[in-house]
Amino acid sequence: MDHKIAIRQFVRELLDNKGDDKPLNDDSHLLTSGRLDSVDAVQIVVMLEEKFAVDFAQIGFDQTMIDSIDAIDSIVRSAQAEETAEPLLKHGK
Amino acid sequence: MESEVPTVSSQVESPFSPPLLAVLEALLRQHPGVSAAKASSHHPQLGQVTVHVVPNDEYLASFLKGDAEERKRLQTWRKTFDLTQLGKEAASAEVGFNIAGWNSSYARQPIPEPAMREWVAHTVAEILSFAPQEILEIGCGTGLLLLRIASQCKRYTATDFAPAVLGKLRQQLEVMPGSWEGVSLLERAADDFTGMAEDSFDTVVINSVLHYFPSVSYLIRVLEGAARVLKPGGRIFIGDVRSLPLLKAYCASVELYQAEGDVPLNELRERVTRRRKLQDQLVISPAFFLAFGERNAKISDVEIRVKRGRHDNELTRYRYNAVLHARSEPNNKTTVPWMEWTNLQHGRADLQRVLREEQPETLAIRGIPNARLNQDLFALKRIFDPHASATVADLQADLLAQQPNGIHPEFLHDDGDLAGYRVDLSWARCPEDGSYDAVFSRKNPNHQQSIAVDWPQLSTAGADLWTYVNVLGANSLRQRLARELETFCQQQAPPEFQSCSIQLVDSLPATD
Repeated sequence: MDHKIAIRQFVRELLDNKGDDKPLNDDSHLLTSGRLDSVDAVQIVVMLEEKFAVDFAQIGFDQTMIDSIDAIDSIVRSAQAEETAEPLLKHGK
Repeated sequence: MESEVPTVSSQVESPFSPPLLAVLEALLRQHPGVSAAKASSHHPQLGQVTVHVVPNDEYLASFLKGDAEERKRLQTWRKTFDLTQLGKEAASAEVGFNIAGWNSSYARQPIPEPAMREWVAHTVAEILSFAPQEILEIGCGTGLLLLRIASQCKRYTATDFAPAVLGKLRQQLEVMPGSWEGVSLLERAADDFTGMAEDSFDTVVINSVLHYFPSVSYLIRVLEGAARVLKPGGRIFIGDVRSLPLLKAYCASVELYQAEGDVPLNELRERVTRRRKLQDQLVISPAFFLAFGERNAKISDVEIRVKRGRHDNELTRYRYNAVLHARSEPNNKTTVPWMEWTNLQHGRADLQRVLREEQPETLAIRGIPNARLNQDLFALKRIFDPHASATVADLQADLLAQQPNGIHPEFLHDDGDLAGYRVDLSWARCPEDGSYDAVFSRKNPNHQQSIAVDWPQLSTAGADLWTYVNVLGANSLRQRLARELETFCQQQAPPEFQSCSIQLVDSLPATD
């Protein structure tokens, strides 16, 4: 499954749990708008660490980094790019 | 149990006759999660029966008692705090003053630095007034208190469960000047007292931490542990507790702040109710500590202190400090004659005159209206007025036209200081209007600490401790109960009702 679909689904569920049935666009603000809170942010972070091997200890963390589906998607893309780049580097050694 | 359920007669013609609905209600009332149930059918088709159920709060809270649920909640909070230390705010924090993660619920922005500095200064002063020598701090965070107190103590043991947070504190201890020999840092959960001897600390500090505890039973476990390691003559200082009697006003003030002007008040009312139910933090009535103190043999008396501070924010308006004393002479309470604030005809001017001219040893006044909450309480009343037809913008205009009312607690501290009095302010009556009681005691150079006073307080006789704490994340617990009840109906109800819909409500709808 395309990772962006998985992210959309995950965020939609978090919103549903809060009784938020408002439309969700890929650029909708999630945390800075108050639709999701810091506890939800942790759910997103854990999902990204577990499913997409994003390493926040390396890249740092700021709520704006996961404030929309587009933002989350771009973190996943960078993490995946790094993952594919790493073996090449090792090979180069 | 099943045999006690009235059986459904197949002779009943209409599947939704009142007696049949009563059968379903009786069945559901047997479930421990149900306080009351009312079934209704607005559509004659099968499966269109709705049952309104008032949930049993104690049963909802029991969902939280499981170890797995507790662990999950603790892990989430640990991660939350660790994440705050990975951001730019923490990286650029001043040594000794790392306030990353302290955000306002209103603006969702960091609480302004001057307000946090004042908050730290008052908390530190309050703890130092006990002249502590051996402190245990549970949930020390990045050391806002430790770095200001520890060098004045013999021993300062500090615990926190978030490794990245403790790491930041260690870094600061390395570069900050001060004598830190007595400091030991332990990475552990708040309920872990392993290796700590009974009667080994004169002061236990738990500041701005309780609202992250995962359940009431966890909270009780921590306080029992704290009381056990406390020396006779010592005290447990619990700072920054979110007030349950004021939770509704708090939720109303946040929702009002965030709402657009054209939102009708009845919609705002729903948002306030939802926010209250969604609280993921423990919100505790002062009565909890009063009741705990009465049940714990070591605790002699409990003070519920109104927060200090001129800055106006959710910390000063909606939180309080509790001090659980283990006094050596537990029955030595000072009885003071209480007078009502309303008896002071000229309010503060009368008070100032009495302190200046009559100079009583102590002066005790109850029922002082709280200027900090005046506006929020006005708004709350309007939002919950069932006849309110106005919008948020109308309410905001009315608020601007409101006359200031009540006395700011800091003004009483000013009056006391000027006349040479120590001022103690209490919320032990647990009032929903935030009004408070005051004791002015003449300053005595030999006695800096608060005296044990017979504060007016809410009676907690016979009540269970859990009734003084909100149900955490009640929304998800209610969803869980609704699913459980639907399964219960599928398994136990007559076939006609197996797909009935359960709606959890706070009270049953009025009968037609």
